[in-house]
Amino acid sequence: MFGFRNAWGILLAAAVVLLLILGAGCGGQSQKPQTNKAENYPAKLITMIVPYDPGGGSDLVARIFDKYAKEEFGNSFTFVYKPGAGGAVGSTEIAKAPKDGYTIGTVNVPQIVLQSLTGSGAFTVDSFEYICQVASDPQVFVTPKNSPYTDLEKFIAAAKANPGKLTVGIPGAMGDGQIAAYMLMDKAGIKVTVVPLKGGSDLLASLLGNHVNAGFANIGVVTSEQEKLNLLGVTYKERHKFLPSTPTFTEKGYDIQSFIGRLFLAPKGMSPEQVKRLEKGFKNIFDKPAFQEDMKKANFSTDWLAGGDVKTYLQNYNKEAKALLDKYHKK
Amino acid sequence: METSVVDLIVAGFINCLAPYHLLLMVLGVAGGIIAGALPGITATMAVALLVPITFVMEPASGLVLLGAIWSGAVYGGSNAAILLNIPGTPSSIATTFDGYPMTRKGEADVALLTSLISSAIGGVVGIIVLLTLFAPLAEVSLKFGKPEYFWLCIFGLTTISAMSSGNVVKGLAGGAIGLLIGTIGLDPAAGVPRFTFGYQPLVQGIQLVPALIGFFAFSQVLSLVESNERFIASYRQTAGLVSKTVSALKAKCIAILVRSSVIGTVIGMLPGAGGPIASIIAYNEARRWDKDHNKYGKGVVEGVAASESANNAVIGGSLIPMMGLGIPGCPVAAVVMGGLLAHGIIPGSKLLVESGDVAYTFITSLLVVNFVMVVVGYFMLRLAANILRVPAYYVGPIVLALSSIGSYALSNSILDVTVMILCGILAYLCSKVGIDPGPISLGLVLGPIAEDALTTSLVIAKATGSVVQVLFLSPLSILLILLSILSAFSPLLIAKIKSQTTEGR
Repeated sequence: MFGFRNAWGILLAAAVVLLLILGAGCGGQSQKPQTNKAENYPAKLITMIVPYDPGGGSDLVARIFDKYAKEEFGNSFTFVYKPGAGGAVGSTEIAKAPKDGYTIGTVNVPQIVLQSLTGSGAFTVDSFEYICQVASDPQVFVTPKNSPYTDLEKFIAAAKANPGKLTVGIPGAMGDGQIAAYMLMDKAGIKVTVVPLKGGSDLLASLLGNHVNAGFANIGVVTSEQEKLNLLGVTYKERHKFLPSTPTFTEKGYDIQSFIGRLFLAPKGMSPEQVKRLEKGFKNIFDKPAFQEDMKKANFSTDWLAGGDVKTYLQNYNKEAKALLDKYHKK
Repeated sequence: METSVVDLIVAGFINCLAPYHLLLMVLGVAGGIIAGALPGITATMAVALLVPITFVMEPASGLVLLGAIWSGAVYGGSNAAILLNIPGTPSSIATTFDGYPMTRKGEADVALLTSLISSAIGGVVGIIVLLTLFAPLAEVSLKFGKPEYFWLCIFGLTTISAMSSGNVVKGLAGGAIGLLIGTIGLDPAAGVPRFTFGYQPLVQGIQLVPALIGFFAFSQVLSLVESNERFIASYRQTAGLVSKTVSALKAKCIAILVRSSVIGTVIGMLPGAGGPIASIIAYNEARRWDKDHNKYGKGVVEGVAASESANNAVIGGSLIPMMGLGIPGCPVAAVVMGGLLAHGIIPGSKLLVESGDVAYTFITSLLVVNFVMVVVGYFMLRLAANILRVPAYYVGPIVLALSSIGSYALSNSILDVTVMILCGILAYLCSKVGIDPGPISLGLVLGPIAEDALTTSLVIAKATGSVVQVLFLSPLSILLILLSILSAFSPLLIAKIKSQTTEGR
């Protein structure tokens, strides 16, 4: 009987402790309703919505920022993952998040543009306040090592001979890979079947397992496994520092430039002071040598663009992408 | 070269046996067990929450902690499954099938210890395979293309026919409900909303974990209230628990433990499958290979042993493609990989050359942690079983509160709480007409994976020009199709043979 009561007590105590912890966790929101002033912002945890699976490129960049967030903002970020439909679900979530300054997110150019064009997300380019772009990663066009298409010329010749027969894997529907694939079709005058996969890991697995003929992968995804792949071309204006021996599409005579820009943004309507504060904070972190070192280790090429510039760039990109989609994305 | 790997393993062992690391393991396992036991905190979430904390630690220590939490959480999920019929994590759905009936029979502590020992055995098998064979196996895991994933899911779905022997129609109806719920949200191929009835928030789809909490926890509370019993089950401590459980496992379960651990490791190493599928398939196989199929579902140690050894073996399995190729084998592995990358350690074929010391400390710690888990888990098990001594009118509200908090905490979304409640009511009503939550949850777990695999296969098939070739004719697909047919119809056949033999007498 004694053991019984004892166990009861422990259980009850555990329940109380649990409730206290949870209470403390939730309490912050209700205690100080009107302290949105710029000088003590951020006063509590900022939620970071990642519209992709944990462990993907966007998550990693955000996590590397998170490493330094405590000293810059006083708190780490709380990560919320909202994967689905190539980021459309999570991006919608960011657009509709509370505007109190405590929910921000990370998304990619061109996803954010493409999804608003195709209507898969309930947002447009104007649904957000842009904090900054921190990195831009071009794509690499790759084939598996044992593929007969060891260079771009061979692939294009084969695609011309067999229109629509060759499969090109991309990391997700309506993403950077899709535009790169359409650009290739456009500039080389070929037709291939675009296969949307579930993220960079899925694409790498499909390539290494020979389930697709080729793929547009992000540079960070392929660099660590590059000896298992043929690297046919980089979608960048010049040879990329991570892959100096891989030719660019431009060198090969096809003017294809496409890259993922990694953005941080907030829902439209967040106060300009808060956006400025975040932009400054992200820039401070960005300028730390240790941060640059971390990004390099994880294969991201850092590329700073302030919030205002991001917006102009996106509006231009919107037009170009629309033309490509109108041409190729009709059933 | 050969000696250097052995050196690394030995150094890893020595490193992870350091007192500080052992302490981390004890804390990690205990925390993991509690997190896993609470509905709403899955293994993925428990590990993800801890990743930022590891940033301030040495990479090796951080990984030791993550591995301990992961192992603990996967085992911990069985506690709620066994005691309350509520899978604490999706990986322990199959544990409810026999675990809870054992509790009803008054054998809660036997079920818990079975789960603990099986989890540890599964964990050890998975890690040994990882340690010895990961390089070649990582390549093998790539043979699995989208068509094979599709058939793997179909194979998983055939479990429904076995689970509901005697009432296949109701089982299938449950599975269909689950599949149907899984179609709500964005169409994975086209990215267009469907079945959202114009309600924008439903674009995110019905999230698996809140739905599962509803199916099992909320509906269980409703049944509890209705039954008006004072206690969930009568519980007395089993005398000689350890010797009794160990001898039962030795006598009945050696083959099951080995088979389930292998199934768990193999399914774990396929990126895109994971713990829930592994434990369900292992459970189904245990049942099929047994001479007496009908005892399953009524509270036998074999069922618990199969499910729990498989889901812990997934840990080692899912690290195989991650260590070998940089492709995580399951969502938790993806989170761990994020942690590695943030430390500047890049998983993949160069991992062992560039960061071999950290990698081997991590792998060997996952081996050691299973032994720590048996000790820690044993002390926590009796305490956990005392929940059965709490009157049902306290348990109900506590479970309800935890379910709501758990559903909300997943993504801070009140919609998930609504989903949880509605799914709970649905499951409760279904149980009134004899449709169990098991088949419904199977449909919901496997449906979306199967759909994605099928649509991608069809896109590839369209390019190559032959659906038959792509979808049906690879050797692995043929194998999985045959297994599915066997699994789907074996209950019927066996029933027929049995009735004939009894007639013959």
